[in-house]
Amino acid sequence: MFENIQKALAERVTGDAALAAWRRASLASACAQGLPGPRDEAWRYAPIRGMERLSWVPAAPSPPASDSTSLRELLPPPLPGFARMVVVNGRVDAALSSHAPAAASGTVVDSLQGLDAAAAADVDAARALANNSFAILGRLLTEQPLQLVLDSTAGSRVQLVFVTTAAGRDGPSPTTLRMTVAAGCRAEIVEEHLAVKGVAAFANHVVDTALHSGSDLLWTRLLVSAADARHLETVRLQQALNSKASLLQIAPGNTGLRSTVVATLDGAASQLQFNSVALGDGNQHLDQHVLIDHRGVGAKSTEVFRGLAAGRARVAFTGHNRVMPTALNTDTRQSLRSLIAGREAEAIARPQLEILTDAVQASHGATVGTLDPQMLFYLLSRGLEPSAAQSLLKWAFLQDVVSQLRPAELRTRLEALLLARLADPLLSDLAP
Amino acid sequence: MLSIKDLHATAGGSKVLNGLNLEVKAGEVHAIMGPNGSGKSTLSYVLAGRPGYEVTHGSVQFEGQDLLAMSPEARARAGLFLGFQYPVEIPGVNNAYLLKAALNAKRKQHGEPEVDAFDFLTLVRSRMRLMQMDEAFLSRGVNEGFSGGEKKRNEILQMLVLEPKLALLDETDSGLDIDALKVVAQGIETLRSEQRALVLITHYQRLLDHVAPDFVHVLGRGRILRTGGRELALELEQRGYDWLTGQAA
Repeated sequence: MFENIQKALAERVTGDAALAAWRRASLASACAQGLPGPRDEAWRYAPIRGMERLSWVPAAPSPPASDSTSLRELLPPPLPGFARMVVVNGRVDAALSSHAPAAASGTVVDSLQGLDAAAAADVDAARALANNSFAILGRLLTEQPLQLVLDSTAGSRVQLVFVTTAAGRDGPSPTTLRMTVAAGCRAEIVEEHLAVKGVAAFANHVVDTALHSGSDLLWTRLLVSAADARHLETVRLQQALNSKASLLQIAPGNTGLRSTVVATLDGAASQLQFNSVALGDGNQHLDQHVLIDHRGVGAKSTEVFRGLAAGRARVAFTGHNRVMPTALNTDTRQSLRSLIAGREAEAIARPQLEILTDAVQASHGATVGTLDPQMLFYLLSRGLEPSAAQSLLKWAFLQDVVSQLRPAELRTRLEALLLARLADPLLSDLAP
Repeated sequence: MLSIKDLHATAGGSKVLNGLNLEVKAGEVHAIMGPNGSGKSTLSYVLAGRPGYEVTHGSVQFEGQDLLAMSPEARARAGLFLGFQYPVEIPGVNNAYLLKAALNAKRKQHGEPEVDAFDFLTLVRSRMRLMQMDEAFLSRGVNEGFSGGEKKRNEILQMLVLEPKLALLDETDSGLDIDALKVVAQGIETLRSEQRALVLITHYQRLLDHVAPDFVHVLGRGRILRTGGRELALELEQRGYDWLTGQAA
């Protein structure tokens, strides 16, 4: 596979010598370690079988699709007050995007051809991605890396929509995004991933996010794809002094998902709230691996995961919380809960605490189980049908996370989506 | 309304009910008393259809139907209500939703349309006033974070909204202070009518001071040991259960 990639890259490694050198070095690193597989502990539950057999040559982008009716129908409605950037097969579609509101609030939304040059100088990024060949390949193969600089103290609000229309049989469509929230600034990002049904789309998404001192980011990520799509991603979040981030991921299900999140709380008193929901059904295979690395004094993190596995789905979550010797007085809390709602379903919730200092408060809890029979009987004793009672309890199970969705327009839409997934007409009453 | 004949049942593999007989007619209020482990709660769970409670012998007719052949939800829709001794908390499902869903399930059973939102709120608010419950409870998760007394009030609120034909109230008075007991008793009295029946499972006489029973039964070793009027409850208060359970032994 790497021969194919080297060939594909040969045409691109031109011009700037430093950039070319970085790309060659990155590729050499990926070649040396190969792709991770099920024998690697961190990838044990990832849906990555057969990846080495793909050519990994990016699928040819579809023709300009702005005027495509099916594409417009696929897109979520614009969120009021948000700038919108639509990226189709890795390229910004200007006709479907609207920058004006963001510009008015001081946000800079731009694509940056030279992102790799910046990445080449980013030693931390290279280190964070060093053991993840998928991320390296994603960055190397992306044709149009994107950059968002969020620098408004009044608050920047951006809706990012990534659409994959290309078939994924030869390899994933890569996208790379770098986000920066400037010191003291507030930002709200809604990031949605969509795929056209019927083409077995496959995305490889790489995000690098830096929060500067005193910044505040509310980041909602919707990992929706078509039921036949696969989504592979690497999300890196780096937080400076007194920064606050709230990252909420919703994975309502597709054929395969691997989300690798590496959050580094470098700055003193930096705070991270990480929430995640995953719903798997049929033969879906959803895997999330989250490392929260506490490095600054007084760092604080809370991690909540709610997973639901129905049918023959496998839903896995690994929450690795590491507290470095420098991170005195860290406060880290973790709650991982998974629900098995199918005889052949599999749910995995793995808490991993690695504490390398004494002055720390840490709590964690992980449970995997079925619907509570006492709750179920209570609802039945009030006359509810078993299917309705089960759906209601599944819905209730997700509420810890779903109730935190903002803005209201997004919550309404996502609740409707999740209710549809839980598939019971009785629950339509619950939608706001 | 309810006819229990020679009922034997096991819970967790142990025999708990051993030939219990009971007749409850419309308009009657029955109190079932008895020491711990006598089978009171098991009786209520068996009647409500809780999984894990197996009937090994006997029959139960409810309104002429074979109750034991019905699913728990069918029993509820047919008009049987169980007020739980330990109401379960269900975070994420709000009270208003459950009340409405339960009411609509019952209405569907009777071929009636779903309740109008305005009518529903009017009904629920009137019942909440009766139970001296704040309307804020409607938007809270079912029993979530409720005190013991609030949970019991919530059970009675559900009963008043659903207006069952037969209510089995399992130790609804336990854990209530004097004022809360009066409120709960008032709620129970509200439901009392010639068309309905109540079965109160209790340890203590004090609930019966507020809801006068027509019959008092003493349960021991899984069957009715003695049946009397209200005076039997007063006698139990004085003498305890030993003189009856001892005779049975």
